[in-house]
Amino acid sequence: MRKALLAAAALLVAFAPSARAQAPAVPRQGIVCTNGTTFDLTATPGYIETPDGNSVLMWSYALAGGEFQSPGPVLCVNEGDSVTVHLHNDLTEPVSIVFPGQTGVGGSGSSGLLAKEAPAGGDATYTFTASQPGTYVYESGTDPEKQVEMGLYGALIVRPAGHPDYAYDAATRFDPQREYLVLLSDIDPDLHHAVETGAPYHFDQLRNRYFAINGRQFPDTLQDNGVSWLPAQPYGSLIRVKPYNATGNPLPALIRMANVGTVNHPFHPHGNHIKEVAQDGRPLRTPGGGDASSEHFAETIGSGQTQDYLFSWTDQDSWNPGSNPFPASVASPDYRNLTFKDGNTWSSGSAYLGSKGTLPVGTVSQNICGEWYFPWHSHALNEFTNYDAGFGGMATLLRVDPPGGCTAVAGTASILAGTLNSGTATALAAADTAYYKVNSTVSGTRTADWYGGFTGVPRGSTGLAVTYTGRNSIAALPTTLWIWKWSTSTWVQMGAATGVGTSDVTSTRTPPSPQSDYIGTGANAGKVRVRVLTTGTTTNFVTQGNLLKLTYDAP
Amino acid sequence: MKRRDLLKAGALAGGLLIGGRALQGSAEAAANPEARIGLAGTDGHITLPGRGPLYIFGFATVPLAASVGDLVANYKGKAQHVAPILDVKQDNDVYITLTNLGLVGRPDLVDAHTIHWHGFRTPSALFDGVPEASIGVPIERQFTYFFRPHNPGTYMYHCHFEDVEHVQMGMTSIVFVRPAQDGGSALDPLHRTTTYAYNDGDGSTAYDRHFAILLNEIEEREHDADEQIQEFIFTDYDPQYFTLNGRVYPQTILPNNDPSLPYQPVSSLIQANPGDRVLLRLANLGYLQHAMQLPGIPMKVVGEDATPHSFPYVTNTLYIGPGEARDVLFTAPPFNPSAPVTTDARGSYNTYLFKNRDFRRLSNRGSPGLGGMATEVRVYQGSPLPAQTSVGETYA
Amino acid sequence: MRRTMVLILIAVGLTLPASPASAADVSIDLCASAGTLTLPGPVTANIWGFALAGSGGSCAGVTPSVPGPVLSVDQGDTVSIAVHNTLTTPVSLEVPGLSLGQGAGISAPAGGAATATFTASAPGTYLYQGTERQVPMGLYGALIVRPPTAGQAYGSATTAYDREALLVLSAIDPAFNASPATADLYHYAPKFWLINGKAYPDTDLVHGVAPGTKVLLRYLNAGFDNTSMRLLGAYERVLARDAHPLANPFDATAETIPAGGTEDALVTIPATGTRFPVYNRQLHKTMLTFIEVP
Ligand SMILES: [Cu+2]
Ligand SMILES: [Cu+2]
Repeated sequence: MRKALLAAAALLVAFAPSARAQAPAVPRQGIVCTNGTTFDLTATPGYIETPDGNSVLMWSYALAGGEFQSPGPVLCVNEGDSVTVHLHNDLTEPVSIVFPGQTGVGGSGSSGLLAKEAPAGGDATYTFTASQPGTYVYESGTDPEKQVEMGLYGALIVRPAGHPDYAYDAATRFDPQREYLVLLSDIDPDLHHAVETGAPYHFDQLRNRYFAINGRQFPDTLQDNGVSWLPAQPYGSLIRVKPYNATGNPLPALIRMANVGTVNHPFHPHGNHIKEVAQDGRPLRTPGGGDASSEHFAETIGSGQTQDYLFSWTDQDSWNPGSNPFPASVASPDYRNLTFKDGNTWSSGSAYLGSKGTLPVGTVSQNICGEWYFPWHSHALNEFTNYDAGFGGMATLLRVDPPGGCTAVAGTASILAGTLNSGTATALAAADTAYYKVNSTVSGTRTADWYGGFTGVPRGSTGLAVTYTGRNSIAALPTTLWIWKWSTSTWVQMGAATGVGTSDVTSTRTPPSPQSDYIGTGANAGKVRVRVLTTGTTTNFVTQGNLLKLTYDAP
Repeated sequence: MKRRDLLKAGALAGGLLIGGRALQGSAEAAANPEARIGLAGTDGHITLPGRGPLYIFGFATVPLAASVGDLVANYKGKAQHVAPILDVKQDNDVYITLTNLGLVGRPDLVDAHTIHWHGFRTPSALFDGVPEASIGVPIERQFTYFFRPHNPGTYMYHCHFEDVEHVQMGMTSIVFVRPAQDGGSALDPLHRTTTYAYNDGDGSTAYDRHFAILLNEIEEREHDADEQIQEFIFTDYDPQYFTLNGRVYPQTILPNNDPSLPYQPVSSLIQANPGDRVLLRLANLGYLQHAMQLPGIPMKVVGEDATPHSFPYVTNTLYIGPGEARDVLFTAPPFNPSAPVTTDARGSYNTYLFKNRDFRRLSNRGSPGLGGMATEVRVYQGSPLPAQTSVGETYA
Repeated sequence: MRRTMVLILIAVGLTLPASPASAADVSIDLCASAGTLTLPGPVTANIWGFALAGSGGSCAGVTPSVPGPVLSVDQGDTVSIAVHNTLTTPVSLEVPGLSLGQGAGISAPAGGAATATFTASAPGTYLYQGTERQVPMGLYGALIVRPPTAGQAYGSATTAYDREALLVLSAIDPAFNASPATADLYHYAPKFWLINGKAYPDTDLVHGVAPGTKVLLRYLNAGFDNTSMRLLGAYERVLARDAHPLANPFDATAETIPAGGTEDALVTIPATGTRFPVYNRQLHKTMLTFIEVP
């Protein structure tokens, strides 16, 4: 059966819609909202790709004029909005939308079992007031055992009036940069094939083979939103956090989970517990209005339910290689005696967050700068597969980034004006007693002009920040920091000059947007250059660099 | 710190239960008492009614001091199902050394193994046991996992290497963390125990006896395929056997270390005196959700996922999904001479069935009679049972 | 005082609040008998079901139903339920939330009888049930224990309702039921998904009367699947599970009722809308009914 399905898919793939350019506003990760109060949706067929090379017919709601996408767009509205959803039906049978959790849904269309319907080729309209914030689903109310299974579903988000950073109320405040949708679904490709070929549809023979988060199966779930090679599945689900910190990172991530599948799914987050704060768009409270949330390391989410979770990652012991190391006998295992599966790993090779260890020769690392990866997956492990292949399906990764982001230190130092006094770039790795010293020019207005080179900065990194610590042999010389703009082959000054005298001064600078200009491509891929220009008078001097550091958020 | 809290070591033969070997005064992390545990990953066979020996992967308890060569010689092919139940204490430094002994039945397979400490707040990905994001332990190699658990409760551990296969093959068990509150009787409202499920502060989770029971299923086609060097399609999963601690009823009510089940040493029989407060540490590492009932005895859920319940609730139907854990307290009812009575060496008792409410799961591959995911709670006349000395203790 | 039986039948799941009565001895005689159930198609399935016995506990001429009769008693009543078994196989009776005087349950031998006695000490929604193959055959029903205050599900005034409806969820596999003594229970595979023994479009409507009316839905899952039920157009406030009031009632639109479990949920009919679907969200489409106004 499966072979036949693959063959059929291959024939039909030519008709699959082409890639849609995502608007630049789409974040690489996290929830992708379609904002508005009026939405035009079209029920339409299309194909999704699975990681094992299959292509499966789906029905979905697409934005009118947009390409087919699975699941339907994430409709984001504000509390109190009057919401109108127009549905046009490009399928050959009647279709509708139900909005569980919304009351007083009005509108027009032909009458159906659960909702007003749009006949084949026709239209229907739904109106309601988004009276209460929350995470909801929308899905077909027509022949659901066929149409919901076929993929007619999506998420509806209602944000609290005036508080887009609350899920519900102040107790559910979250970091708006860390808002994630985890929409669970399941697919029986034989049923979809029956729909495709007009064969009898027997829901009681349901045998799910594919299990998705936001319409993708692992490892496709890790890919950015809107990647070109998954044109019909625009939503990724990589979850990213930094360790909780009461002052620096106090707000949790918000995980909006919804199960539009045909069965209940038990979801297991590695790393730390998740805190359930709401079900079906209503916060969990005591009768007195207090907190009735609960923490879980696994939670079964019922078919049709939504649940909201707050998530923070904390190391209760604050292990670190300096003041609180792991016992020496376990902290540095001999990797030559161990194995990294398939020679390709997300492991940093270190026991500590933000550090990288040395992996055995031949092991490919996907690790950028010592961040951690933990799977979040269905613990019905038969759903943690793609049909017959393990480590797929209903899974994504939690990525815990180092608290300060990724850090790089200058690996090279080159002099633009002046001469080397002493030291090498390694002296720039830490603010310590080792200095990289450059003699100024010796005529006219003396200058010392040099730059440090960084490597391994991934394309797409953001939040670039430069820290320079240094001093001069004489007092109060204006010092400016610059960054190399690869697209124009020019230096760009970062901020105003700082006066640097005979004791160490630390300056932190961020380059102007767009930051992608400062990360080399092609032969210079991953390279960043930062220049230190010290302008003197007519007196010779020596510039003494102590630390030159680049921090960034890896993509 | 009382020594008994550190040392729940297998007083029972056969690796039924292991706790830490106390090693005080180590140079490492001297502030915290240590527990050191040796586990080996290998294969073996278990006994199920209605079929021949079933091929499994699993863990076995092994001595820490032995060389890898000695472990291979003595333990390869001797995996047990359920894997050893681990008993550790809050704030102890727990070292678990895993040795991969290889597979007797599949010498062609070079699978690594890992231990995922399921449910623990993980301080380092290195010890999370996910081979794609940390390490795997190849055959005849060792790795030591380190944890300092701070949150008492019931957890699980399992291999995460090709986990849909290795978990179903049997590399699964319960690990529980005793609370720091243990050891004092002052909080117990009845002043007769020093053991609690959680740091409740008020004795509300005091228990007289506790039982760790892992719910699971066995899809025999997968096990047979593995033994016969065939592939099994995991989305065909449709198990035939429904187990508690690796046994099906009536195996579940045989005592611990029953000689008829050499590689399924862990009983699920619950024996209690009237009035005993019984803690069930339940976890599900099957792939199906289970609704469990104990008709005649209300169950109070005091904890979930190793988190004490702010609002404990009483239920008759315990709904527990894969990867979830529940801590359930009940009080053994009075002995009722007018109800059906059975007698064993300890005297007369009433029987209550703890059973799956999907009665399809109370059969052993369709054979007649009660089977599958069920065990018995036996409440004795008088109070003939001595105080419990280890989790899940059974009395002949 | 001794009453013989206080029974409120579910014609459809809709009953008016019963008036409270003082604690009493209540004896109920049930017959376990074979019969048939007509399902959409039409398909006629063999069933075993409970029925109220005739006078003197006679089972002559009784017609068993799926689910069995609704047993309604008052909190504090001392209840005796006698099972008169006309089948050729033993029938057991257990109420998971109750300790029957005999322990977990009773068993009536083939052709014999057995009596369970208990005190209805706590109000709530209980499922009475047989065991193993008796359940797919249809031997189950609802037992309601009413608190002293009329029109409340439990002792708290927050559980007050205007109307109540039972939703006994179950399923039927006619192939299994064709040969109950020999069919392999492991292979039981339902084809019909039922509310109160009926498959949509035969299911009974729940009448909500008017906006603001509080309708108490008493879900009882007599089937084997953990069943997720969805309500559209309104919220249900989940008050209790397994006859135990929740410390923190919450609002939901989809709730999983585990196999053998019960749940009480209160729907306040919204100001807009006249028809509120209640259905199996795991897409078994015949498990569907509506709350309708009026
Ligand atoms: Cu393994
Ligand atoms: Cu796990």
